[in-house]
Amino acid sequence: MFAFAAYGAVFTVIFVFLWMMISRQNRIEKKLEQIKNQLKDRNAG
Amino acid sequence: MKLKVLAILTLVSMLTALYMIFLYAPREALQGDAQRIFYIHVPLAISGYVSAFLLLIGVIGFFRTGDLKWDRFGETAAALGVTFISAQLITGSLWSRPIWGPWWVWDARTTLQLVLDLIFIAYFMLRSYLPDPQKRAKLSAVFGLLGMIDVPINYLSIYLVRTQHPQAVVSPGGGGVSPEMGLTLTVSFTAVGLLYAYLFNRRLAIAKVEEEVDYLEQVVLAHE
Amino acid sequence: MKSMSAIIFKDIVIEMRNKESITSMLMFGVLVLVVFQFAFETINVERGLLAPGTLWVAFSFAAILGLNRSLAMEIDNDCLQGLLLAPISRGELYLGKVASNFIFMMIAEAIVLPLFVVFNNLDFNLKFLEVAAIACLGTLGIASIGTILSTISANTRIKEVMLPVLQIPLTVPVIIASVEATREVLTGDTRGISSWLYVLAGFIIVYLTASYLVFEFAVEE
Repeated sequence: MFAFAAYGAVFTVIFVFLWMMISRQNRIEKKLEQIKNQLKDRNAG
Repeated sequence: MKLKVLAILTLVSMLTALYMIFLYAPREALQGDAQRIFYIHVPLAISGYVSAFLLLIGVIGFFRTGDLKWDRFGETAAALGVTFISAQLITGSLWSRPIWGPWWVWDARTTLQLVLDLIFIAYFMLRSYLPDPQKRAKLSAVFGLLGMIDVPINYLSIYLVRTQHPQAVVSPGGGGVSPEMGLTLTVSFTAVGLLYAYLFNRRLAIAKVEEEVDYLEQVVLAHE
Repeated sequence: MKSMSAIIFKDIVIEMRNKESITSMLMFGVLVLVVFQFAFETINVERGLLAPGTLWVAFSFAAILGLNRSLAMEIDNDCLQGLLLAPISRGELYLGKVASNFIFMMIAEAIVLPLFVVFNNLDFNLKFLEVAAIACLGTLGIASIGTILSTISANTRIKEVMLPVLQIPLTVPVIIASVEATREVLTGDTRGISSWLYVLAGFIIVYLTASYLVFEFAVEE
C-alpha cells in the first residue's frame, strides 16, 4: 500500500517536471513563430 | 537524435526496474512490501547530492569564464535537485510511517536532504526575482556557491547532534540484502541515472534555445 | 584596515543618530522571548530545555531584521553607490560591513540576554559569560553570511522577504551549534561543547573567506 503510494508520488513529481518542461518548450516555439511572422510581415510591407 | 535514444533507453530501463521492484525482488521478511520503497529512495537521494555537485561545477565554471552556459548548467542541476529530492523526501516519509511509526524522523540524512531542498528552492526564488540575465547569473552563482559550501558544514553539525540522541535502529535494507535485491537496486540505480541524464540534457537544451529566442526577440524589437 | 575602520565608524555615527537598527533588533528580540513565554506557559516542560532554543530564535530573527535595516539604509539614499565608488576593495567593504553589523547585533543581544535570564528565572552567574562568548561566535557566523546575502536580496523587488528565505537554510549549522553549545553550558554538562565550537569557528572561517572572495560579484553593477 505504502509502496504503491510512494511510487505514485515519484511518478507524479516527475510528470509535473516533464509537463513544466514541455510547456516551456511550447511557449518558446510559439514565441519563435511570432517573431518569424513579424519578420515576414515586415518584408512584405 | 541522441536525446531520443536516451529517452527510449530510459523508458525501457524504468519499465524493467518497475517489474523487478514489484515482481522479481523477494518480499522482505521484516518490513514487508514497504521495503520496496527503498529501491527508489536511495537512487533519488544520491541524485540529490549529484545535483548539488553539478550546481557547484556550474557556479565555478561561471566564476571562471563568465559564460551564461554555466549559469544554465547550474540552474538545470538545481531544478533536477528540487524535483528528485522532493520525491525522495515523500518516499522516505511513506517508508517511515509503516516501519518507524512517525511520518517524519529528524535524523541526520533526512534533515540534510530537507535543508538542501530548501537551499535549492531559495535559489529558484532568488532567480525568479531577478529579470536581467547577467545579474541573475552573477547573484545566483554567489548564492549557489554559499549554499553548496553549506552542505558539508550542515552535514557535520546535523550528524553531531543526531548521533548524540538515540537513533532508530532499523534502517532501509538493514538486514541481509539478498542477491535479487542487490540486482534490483542496481537496475533501479541505472533507471534513475538514465532518467536524470535525459531530463538534464533536455532541459539544458530548452534553456539554451530560450536564451537564443529571447536574444532574437530583442534584435527584432530593436530594428522596429 | 584603515578603510574598514572608516566604514565601521560611518555606520556607528549613523546608528547613533537614528538608532534604527539596534532599536528594531532589540524590540524584536524581546518580543520573541515574550511570545515564547506565552507559547510554552501551559505545557509542563522544564524551562531549561527550551530556553537555549528560544534565545537563538530571538537572536537569529532579530539579526535578519537588523540586516534588512542596515541595507535598506544604504539603498534608500543611494549610499551603496557612493561606497562602491570609494577607493577600497570589495573585500574590505564586505569585512567592514560584517564588523558593523556584528557590533550592532552584539549590542542588541547584550540587552536581550539579561532579560532572557530574568524571564526564565535563571541565576546571574559566570555561566552567562560563557553564553555571551558563544553568542559572539554565533552572531559573527550570522553576520558573516547575512551581510553578503542581504546584498544579494537587495537586488530583488521583495528584499525584506527574500533575505530570510536565503539566510535561514544557510544558517542551520550556526543555529544548531549555538543552541547545543548554549544548552551544554546552561545544563552544566559540557563534554561535547568543543565540537560545537569547532563547527562555529569552521563556519565563520569558511564563510568569511568565501564571501570576501566573491563579494565583488554580489555588488557589481
